[in-house]
Amino acid sequence: MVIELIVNILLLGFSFYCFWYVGATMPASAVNELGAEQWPQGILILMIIAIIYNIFKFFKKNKKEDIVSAFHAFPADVAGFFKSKLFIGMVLVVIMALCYEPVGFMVTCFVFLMLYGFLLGQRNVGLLVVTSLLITIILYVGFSVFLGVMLPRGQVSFLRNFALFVESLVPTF
Amino acid sequence: MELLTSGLAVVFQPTMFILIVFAVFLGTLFGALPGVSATMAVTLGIPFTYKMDAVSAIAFLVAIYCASITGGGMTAILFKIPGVPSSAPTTYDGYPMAQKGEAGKALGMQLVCSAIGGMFAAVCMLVLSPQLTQAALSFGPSELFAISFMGLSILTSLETDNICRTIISGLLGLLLACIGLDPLLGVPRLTFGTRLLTSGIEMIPVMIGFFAVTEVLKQTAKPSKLQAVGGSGNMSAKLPTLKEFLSVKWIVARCSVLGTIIGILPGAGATIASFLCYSTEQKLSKHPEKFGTGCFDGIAAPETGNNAATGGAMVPLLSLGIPGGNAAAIMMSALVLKGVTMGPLLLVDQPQFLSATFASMFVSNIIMVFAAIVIAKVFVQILKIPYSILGPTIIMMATIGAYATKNTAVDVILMAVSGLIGFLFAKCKFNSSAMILGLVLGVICESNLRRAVTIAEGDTLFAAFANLAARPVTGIVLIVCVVVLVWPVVKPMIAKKKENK
Repeated sequence: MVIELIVNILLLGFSFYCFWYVGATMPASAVNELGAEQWPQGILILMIIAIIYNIFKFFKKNKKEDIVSAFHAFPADVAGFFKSKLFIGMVLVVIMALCYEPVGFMVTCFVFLMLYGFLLGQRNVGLLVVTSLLITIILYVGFSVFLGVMLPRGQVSFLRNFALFVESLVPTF
Repeated sequence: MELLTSGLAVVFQPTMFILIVFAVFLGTLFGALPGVSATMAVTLGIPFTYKMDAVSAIAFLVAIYCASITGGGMTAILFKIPGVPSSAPTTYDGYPMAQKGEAGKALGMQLVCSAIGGMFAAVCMLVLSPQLTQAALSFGPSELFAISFMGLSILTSLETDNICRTIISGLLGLLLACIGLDPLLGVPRLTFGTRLLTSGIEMIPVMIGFFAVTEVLKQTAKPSKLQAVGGSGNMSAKLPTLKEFLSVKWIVARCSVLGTIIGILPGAGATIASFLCYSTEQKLSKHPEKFGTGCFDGIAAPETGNNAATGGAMVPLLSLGIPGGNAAAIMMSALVLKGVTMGPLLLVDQPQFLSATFASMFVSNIIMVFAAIVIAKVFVQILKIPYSILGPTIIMMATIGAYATKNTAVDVILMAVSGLIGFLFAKCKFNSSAMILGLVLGVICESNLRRAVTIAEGDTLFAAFANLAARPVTGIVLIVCVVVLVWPVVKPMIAKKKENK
């Protein structure tokens, strides 16, 4: 409940900022011309109206006491979220995206599959290692070698050499 | 006839045929896996198309799309969990049949009806698309704006009990489409001084994030477990006998037509088609009480309807360059990535797009029956793959799709961020489909409107808009748009007034 209100308020603030920003940074248009700034400004006006209505509906739908108690419970909910599987999952996805190019596909994929699989409740480490390795090889060889999709080999020399070594094992067509 | 032969020639090239068979298996499998929607199936198919030419790519993605809709019906029958949303009405009669020990028969009927619906829609697409293209060729920017606006006007119908949030989502998509170089003046807009945003928001990583990463995050937060009817044994689909099929022939005929028409309407799509076909047939039936207890009619109606809608959805995409739904929007993005200019001229300059799409749909629908029979045999075993392996694999396939767009890790980061935002969106009950629709149609809508206003030559902006709306086709389409936009808002108000009286 609280997060919904916060997101709406942030969106409203962002919309006002964008409205000002686009007006300040774009060249002014002639009176009979639909300029580069007017289309986004038109969208933003509609968005601001819709968000204000949505916030109004939020307060109309929820009782005052419920909102107050939700705000009281919010810090505990936030603390709970940071300890949840979901948050760890989100962090893993972001770290994986950041490591994708510097570390290379193969290592990133293998480690990510292992860690996310463990997070989702797979406690059989042997199975995790085997399936992660197998899936990494299938994806890398399938896409990079057979379908010719460029996948990052990594910017660290030994990781790059390892990727090239794996590629050299597969016959080219 | 020439179109037909050229399409079949594309599809029956040995490599292409193997790829289509592969796409059908992949699509059926993706569609059958709960949590992998038809849109996600098409999204995950994108990395396979990077090295294909544009015609082969659309044929491949169409095959995945059609097969995933059919695959979704399998889990609906066996697990009472629709693999794709459009299979939800199939659970009403499919699951009770499975409980009665007739899962094989239910699966067989589902496959045959899906194939017939899909093939009928493919023929309709082949006939209707050139006609619509011919009409669209005489259109100027004002008419093209009106048609693209029609795609946006269905925003209010996407989630009728959540209209305000759906509109906000659509507008946010339109705003995101404004980021980057202005389409007419070429000056940076809403880039906030960073060079990264100058080329705009790349659609494919955003879509992959919203449809694939968000879904895995949802499963991480609330994992769901499946239990098949009949335990862990093998399941085999039994094709219906001639007598059984003849008992549903009129249902199949009606739902094929209805599904195709609904598919053509922008935004309506397979889900609405299947629900509408089910309720229509229930109303028309001499034995409506049998619906919901496990009868063939209740399986034939939604499955024919949702597959017929897939062909219908391709009509506005190929003839006008306007995607009818999420899956079509992804296919459009994949084609744009290959340098294809979408719009009415596509089928005039390159008719092979239509013929290849038709042939791929037709052939896929036939192969699909056999593919699904094979998959059904090992289906329960496939679904035993734990989500702890499937979920992360989906994310890694998604990263390949995002990275290969431009071979830059920025797109992978964009995908990850989109996935997180998509999850937050879902938590706040915003509508991801509406946002994607806005993102895809934003540039088309804006550039056509601005060109139309310039051509309309009014003394003021208001006069230019009035001149624009005075054009017959534009005016009529815009009136239709306003009705479509306003009706879902007004309808409950009228109903409430009636209730009060």
